[in-house]
Amino acid sequence: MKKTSLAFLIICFIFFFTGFKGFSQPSSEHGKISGDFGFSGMYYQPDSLINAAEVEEKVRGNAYLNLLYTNKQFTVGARYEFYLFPLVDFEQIAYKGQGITYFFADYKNDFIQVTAGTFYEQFGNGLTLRAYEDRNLGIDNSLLGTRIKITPYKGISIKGIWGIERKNFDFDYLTRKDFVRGGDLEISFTELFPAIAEKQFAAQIGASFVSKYENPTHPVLKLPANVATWATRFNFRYKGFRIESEYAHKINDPNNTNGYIYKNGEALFASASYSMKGLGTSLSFIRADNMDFRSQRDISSTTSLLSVNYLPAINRQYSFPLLGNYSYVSQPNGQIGIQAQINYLIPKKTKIGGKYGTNISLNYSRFHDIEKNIVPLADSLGSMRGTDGYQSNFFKFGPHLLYQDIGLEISRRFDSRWKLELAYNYISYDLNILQGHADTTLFHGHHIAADLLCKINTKHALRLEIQHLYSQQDMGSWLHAMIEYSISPNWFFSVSDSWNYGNNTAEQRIHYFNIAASYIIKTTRISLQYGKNREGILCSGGVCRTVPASYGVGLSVNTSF
Amino acid sequence: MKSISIRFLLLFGSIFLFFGCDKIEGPYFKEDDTVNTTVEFPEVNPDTLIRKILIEEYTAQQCQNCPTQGHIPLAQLLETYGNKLVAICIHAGSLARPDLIPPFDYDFRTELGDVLYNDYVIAGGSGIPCAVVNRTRYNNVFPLANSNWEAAIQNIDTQLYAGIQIINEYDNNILTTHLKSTFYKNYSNKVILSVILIEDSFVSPQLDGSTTIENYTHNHVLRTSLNGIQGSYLNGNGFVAKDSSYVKSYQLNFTDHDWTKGNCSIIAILYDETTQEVLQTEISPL
Repeated sequence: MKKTSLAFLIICFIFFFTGFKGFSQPSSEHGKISGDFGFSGMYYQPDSLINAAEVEEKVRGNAYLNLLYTNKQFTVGARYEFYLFPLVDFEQIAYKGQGITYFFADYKNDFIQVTAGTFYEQFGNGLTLRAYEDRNLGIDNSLLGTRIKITPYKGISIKGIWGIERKNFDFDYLTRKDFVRGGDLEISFTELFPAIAEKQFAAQIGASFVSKYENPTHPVLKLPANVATWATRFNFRYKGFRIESEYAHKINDPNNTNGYIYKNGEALFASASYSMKGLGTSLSFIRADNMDFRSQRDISSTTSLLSVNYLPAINRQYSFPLLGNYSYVSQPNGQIGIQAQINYLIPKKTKIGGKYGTNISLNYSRFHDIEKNIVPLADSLGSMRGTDGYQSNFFKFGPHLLYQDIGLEISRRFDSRWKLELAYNYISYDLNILQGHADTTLFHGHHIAADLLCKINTKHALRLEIQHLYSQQDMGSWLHAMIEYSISPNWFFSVSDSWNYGNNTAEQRIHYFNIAASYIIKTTRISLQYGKNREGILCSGGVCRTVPASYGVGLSVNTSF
Repeated sequence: MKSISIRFLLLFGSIFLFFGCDKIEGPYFKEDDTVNTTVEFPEVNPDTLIRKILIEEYTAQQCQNCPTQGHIPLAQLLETYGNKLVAICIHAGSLARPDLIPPFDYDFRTELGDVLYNDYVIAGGSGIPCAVVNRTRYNNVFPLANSNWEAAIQNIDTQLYAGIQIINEYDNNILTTHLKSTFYKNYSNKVILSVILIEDSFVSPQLDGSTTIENYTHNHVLRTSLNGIQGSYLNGNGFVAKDSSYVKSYQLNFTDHDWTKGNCSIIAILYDETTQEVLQTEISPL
C-alpha cells in the first residue's frame, strides 16, 4: 500500500472512530484527539546591502498540522506539512514539498509496544541512532517502518527498529536502496532493585547495535552493503555525584563525508558532575573519529540529511544573538574536546551575596580536530580515497583549534523588582573548518552582555538587553540592544537592533533592526515581526544550517489542542 | 511463556543484527578490467552528432503479451526513429525463469538484467512488458506501458552532452572493444560508462497469447556487460570536463557462449550516477 494511502486511512480512522466528538468532548469511550498547528510566513523585501535577494512570490510560508488520536492503549497519528513555497532558508536546504510526512499506529501495554509507520527513536545519547525532528532546523529523519519495545521485567527494556529514513519530501520509498535496522538494551538497576534507590544510588547500563544496508554499487571501489555501529553506555549516580559515558564503534563505512576511506570509526562521550547546596561542577569529554553515519553514502557533509546517529554538543549553548553566528558545529568525523563548568551561589543575606544571593558561573570549553597520520598507501596515492585513510592517537588533540569559549556569568536579584545578569565570553572559532569560509584566520571575539529585568508589577515587566562583541576578524565588531515589554499573560513587545559598526567595509556597517509583538491566549500564540535578519548559521545542539539574510514582515501562528 | 518469547526475540534479534555488517578487506579498489587501447579514433565533428535515446524493454519468453505489447511496438519505434533510438531487450523476472524441459528451457537471464529489473520494474511497481526510456521518469514513473513510449522519447531533451566512438576488434574468440567518450558540455554529477553486448536474430521459443511460437526471432537480447554491473568511471573520480575525451578498452571471451558473433552488437551507455539519466548511447555491430 502506498504511503499516502495509509496515512489517509489513518486520518479517516481518527475521524470515524471519534465521530468528531473528540474535539469538544473527549471521553474515555471515544478516545481523545489532540494535536498542534503551526504557521510561519514572511513577506520578503529585497535588500542588496544585507544580501537579501528578491523573492519572486513575495510571501512564503511553512505550515503543518499534527493530529493524534489516543484510545486507551492504542494511538494513531499523522502530520500534514505544507512547505511547497517555504521560507527561503528552508528552500535553501531543499526542505520543500507537501504531503503527509508522518503517520503511525501504536499499541502499548506493560509488556510490549509496537509501532508501524513513521516514528522517532534514540538509543542512548544518540551515538548509534537518533531519529528526531527539529522543526527550526528543518531536520526530520524519522524512520518509516516498524518498532518494537519490550519490557520483560521492570527495569529492563529492549527495543528493535527497522525502517527507511525520511529524506525531506522525497517519498519515493519504493526506489530507495537503503534502510536502517537496530536494537537497544537498557537495564536500570535502580528499578530492578528498589533498595538501591533508597540509598540514593542510581545506575543504568545499556548497549545498542545499528546497521544500515545500502546497495553497494560503485564502479571503482568495493563497498560494504551493510555498515554497522555498536555502542555501550553506563550512567551512575550517588547523591550529588553523577558520571555517565558512552563508547561507540563503527566498522568500515566509506562515504562522501569521509572521502571514501575504510577506517573504522569510534566515539567516546563522558561526563561527570557534582552538586551540593550552592555549588555545582561538571566536566565533559567527547572524541569523535569518522563517525558521520548516513543512510546513503553519497550524501554531502554540508547537509544533515539522512544522518543515522548524532554526536551530542557538550559545549555550553548561548542564546546571545551576537554569539549565535559563532556556535560550535559538531564534527562527527574528527573532534576532541572538553567542557568544564563551575556554578557557585554566593549565599544570600551576606555582604557579597546580597539579599537573594548571587550566582556565578565559570565556563571553559575547547575543541580541536583529531590527530591524523596519513597511512603510507594514501600518501603514495596522493589521496585517502580507497585506503584506510589515517591513524589517530585516541587522546591526542589535533593541531587545529576549532572552538574555545572562556565564559563568566554573574546573576543577581536586587529586590523583588530588579534582576541583573552580566556575562563575558572570549570565543575563538575556526570559520574555515566549522562553516566552510574561505578565510582561514582564526576568529577571536570578546563578548560582554548585560540583561536587566524590571518587574514593574505582577502584570508588567520590562527587560533590557545590551551586548557588545569586539573582534577584528570576520565581520568585525557588533553592538546589540533590545527592549522587551511584557503584559502578562497576553502581550509581548520588543524592539531590537544589531549594529555591525566595526565592519571593515563602511557600507556594511548596517543596523539589523527588529520590531516584534506577540499575543498569547490559552494555547495559541500569534507573533508579528518586522526587520532585518543577518546571514549566518542557526544551530541547535551542535547541528547547524546556514540561514540567508532576509528583510520583511513575518507572521507566525501556533496553537495546540 | 513470557520468558520463552523473550529468548526467542533476543535470539532472532541477535541473528538479524550481528549479521548486519560487512567487513571489507583491502585492497579496496576493484581490479581494473580495462586493457590497452591499441587503435586510433578518427576525429569527429560534433555538429554531425545527435543525442541518442536508449529504450530498455523488459520482456520474457513466457510473457504472453510481450510480442504484441512489447516487441512489435518497439520494432515500430525503431523503424520511426532509426538510429536515434538504441534498444535493449532485457529478459528478467519470473516469466523469464527457464523451465527444466523444453520449449522454455533456455535461460535468457543475465546478472545485469536482474539488477536493472529490480531497480526499475519491481521498484516501479510494474509488470512486463514495459520499457524504461533513457532511465528517466515519464509521468513520474520509470517503467512505461507501450502507449507511453513515444511520448517519453519525445520528452527527452535533445542537447548533446557527449559523443561515443566504438571500435570492435574480434580475434580468436576474443572481442576487444575500444571506446572514446568525448564531452561537449560540462556536467556536474559523476558519469558512468556501461558497455553491453546484445544479440539480434536469436531463434528460440516465445509465448504469444496462448500460442507457443517455436522459431521466434528474439532481437536486441541483452547478453552481458563488458565492464560489470556497476559500469566504470571514465576517469579516477567520475567527474568529466567539457572538451575532454576519455578512452577505455575492454575484452570479452566468446568461448563457451552460444552467441553468434555476426548477430552481436556493442552498446555503450553514458549515464549520470546520481539521477541514472542516460546522457548518450551508441551502438556498434561486431
